[in-house]
Amino acid sequence: MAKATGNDPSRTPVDLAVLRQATSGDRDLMEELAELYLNDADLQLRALDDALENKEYDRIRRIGHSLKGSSSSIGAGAAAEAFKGLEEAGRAQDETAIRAAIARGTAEFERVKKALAELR
Amino acid sequence: MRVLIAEDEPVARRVAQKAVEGFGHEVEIVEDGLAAWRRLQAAPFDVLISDWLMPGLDGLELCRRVRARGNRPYCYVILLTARRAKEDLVAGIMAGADDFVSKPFDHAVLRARLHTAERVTRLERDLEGKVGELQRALEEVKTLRGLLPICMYCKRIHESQDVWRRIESYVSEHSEAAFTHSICPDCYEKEVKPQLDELRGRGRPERDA
Repeated sequence: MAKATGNDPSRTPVDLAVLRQATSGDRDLMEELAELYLNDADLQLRALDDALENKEYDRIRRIGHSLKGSSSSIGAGAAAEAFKGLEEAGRAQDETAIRAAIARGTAEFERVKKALAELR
Repeated sequence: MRVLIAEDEPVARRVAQKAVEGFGHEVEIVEDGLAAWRRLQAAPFDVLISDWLMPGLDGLELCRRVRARGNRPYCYVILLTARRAKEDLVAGIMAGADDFVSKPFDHAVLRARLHTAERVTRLERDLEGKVGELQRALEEVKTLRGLLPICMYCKRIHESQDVWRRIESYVSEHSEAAFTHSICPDCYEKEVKPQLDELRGRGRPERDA
């Protein structure tokens, strides 16, 4: 896997204000959404290697688009940007860019996972 | 209101569902545009909240289909989008969207948009009710229309194959008009006066016409 690039460790992985605004501060709902995001993102990320191997660039684009959206919904801005890169790389059918975007997105996702674990 | 939410992204879908239910509305959720279209054809919804980009049928095409089927009953369409370009907003409005909400959601903004939706759908329901009343009233209004075949001698009207109706009877049945009988000056001179003169000539007492 390519070395992760473009991650900014100083940037908060999850902006909890976004989650609070979306849920009106409902703690149970915040936890439910965190769980939903983590499970869905995990599934989608697992599908990426398979999609890349089969050169399913449109599927990669759609995964990138979906993860961009859900990361944004949960307040994970850096992850959303990384997955936006994946969406664009998939659209461009650029394998090098796709691999880099997967690495970056995965790294950001790990940071989000740690941050959301503290929420529970 | 009955609200249908079409959103393929699970977190946004759950957020929208909880928010709209929290505002007191009845909510159904679907995960893609085709499922939304099937649901809209099966049951009436006051509001459709739809993501723009979805697999199968996107929000824009969904909106076009909702508008193409007519506006009775009216379905208020809100498109969810992160898009901000002028061209995108114009495309959404031209497809028939009533409003837009940015993602990620702001609770207060979504609530305000649904407030507007409630106002518009109420106006539409009132209008629909009044149109129905007007149509019923029109059905009861009797009007005379078209060419009436009339006998040039006795002036009876040819109503159907073997039926000739007196003009008073025909007009009364096909309109709100009624008749009161009198004699015009020409007919008095032509018809009534000769009879009276004849009666006077025979020496019988006159009777007023």
